[in-house]
Amino acid sequence: MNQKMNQEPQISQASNGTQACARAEELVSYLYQEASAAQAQDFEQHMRGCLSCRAELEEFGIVRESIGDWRTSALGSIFTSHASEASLATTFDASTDALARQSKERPTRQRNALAAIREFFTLSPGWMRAATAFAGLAFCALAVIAFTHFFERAEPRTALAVAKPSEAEKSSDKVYTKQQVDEMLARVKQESDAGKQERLVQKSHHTDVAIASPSSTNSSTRQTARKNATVPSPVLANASTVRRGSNRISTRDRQQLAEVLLPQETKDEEKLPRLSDLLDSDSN
Amino acid sequence: METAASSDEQIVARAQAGDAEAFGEIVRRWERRIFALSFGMLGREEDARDATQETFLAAFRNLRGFRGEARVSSWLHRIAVNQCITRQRRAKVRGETALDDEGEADGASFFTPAHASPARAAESRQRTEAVRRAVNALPPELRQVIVMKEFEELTFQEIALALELPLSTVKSRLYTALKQLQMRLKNMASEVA
Repeated sequence: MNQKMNQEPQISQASNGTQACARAEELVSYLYQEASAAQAQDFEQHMRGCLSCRAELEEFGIVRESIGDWRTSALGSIFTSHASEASLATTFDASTDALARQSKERPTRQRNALAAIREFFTLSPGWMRAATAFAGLAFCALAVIAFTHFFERAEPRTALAVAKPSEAEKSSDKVYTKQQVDEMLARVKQESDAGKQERLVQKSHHTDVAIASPSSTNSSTRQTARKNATVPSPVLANASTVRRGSNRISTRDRQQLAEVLLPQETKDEEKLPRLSDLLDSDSN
Repeated sequence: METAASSDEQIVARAQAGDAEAFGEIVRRWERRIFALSFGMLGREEDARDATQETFLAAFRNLRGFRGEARVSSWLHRIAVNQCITRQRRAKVRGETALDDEGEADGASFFTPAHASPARAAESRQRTEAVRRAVNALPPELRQVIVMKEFEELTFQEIALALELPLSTVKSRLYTALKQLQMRLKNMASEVA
């Protein structure tokens, strides 16, 4: 500290051309009475030998006094006015209340965005406004081109779809009601019954052939029986469609269908005359 | 009672949690200081009032964004300073009458004490008007420091915290501001003479 006290005032060239002491920060602390006791004492010692600091301290004091007068006259009149103060508080309360309401409702965000854009345009220089406008126009043009391109590509597909509505209809699965399925099943049953009777008649005609070559007869009979028992393919297709499409066939219906389709072969075989019986009858 | 004992940070935390009255408490605590700052920065009561209101509205809007990393005072001061700078810039763009071009008549109503003699009142008015113009002519970074010191009477440490500047920078800015004001006032006085 003693070293500092004995130091000669450091003089530097200020920007305005006047000579200023390098201990400006200490001067400011001293001026606003924010220096510690030791720092204040030290600076007082320094000022005794520094004309510049002494002069500045005096001039700054005058400046501060002037600002103080302005402050007191201006703010004093405002703050002592009860009406003013009340209006300030009221305005803030009203504003915060309004904001609280708005934050619940939320549509102000859009208004704020608009205000921000407006402010941006107000504050920004002319070239920036022009650039923004140009960018906006370019964006719009690109959007229009993109849309046009998209529709041009989409149009042929649409035309194709319009031109071939029947194909689209064909490809789609048909859905049958339960009643229709029952009718179809009944028809299939009738057909199979009729087929059985026909086969029985035919069997009686072909008995001789069956005796001559029983294995071939059996196989041909089996094939015929299988053929007759076979449900017409559209019906099966329809049945499968029903199964896939809408689960409308109950378990009972399925059992009925199984009865019609599967046991044909075994039943037919049972009713066929046995070879041994035929041989016996011939020998007798 | 509970509110009076609470720190600004605690009150803001309550406001963030949805306490509607908590933010009102912040406004009541800080409105004078923010108004003083705005007045020092803008120089007109009406503008200062608007800027103060906008400061609190902006603070309320950004309440959720306040993470408590800075002090509430710093946060509010930063918002207020930005509001004042934006208003000045906007006024400049719109070509509105700047503070330094204003006639004296506008300020006369509240600068002159009613009991003063006409000669003294005129002298006082001239002086305050000169100070007002000189302060307004300062660059924003110098103006905000001098206004925070002279109008809000904040300590160097508080200003440093509010503006997030080193203490030495605050002091050097204040010194430069005082020096510039002194020069301008001297020039104005010589022009009048």
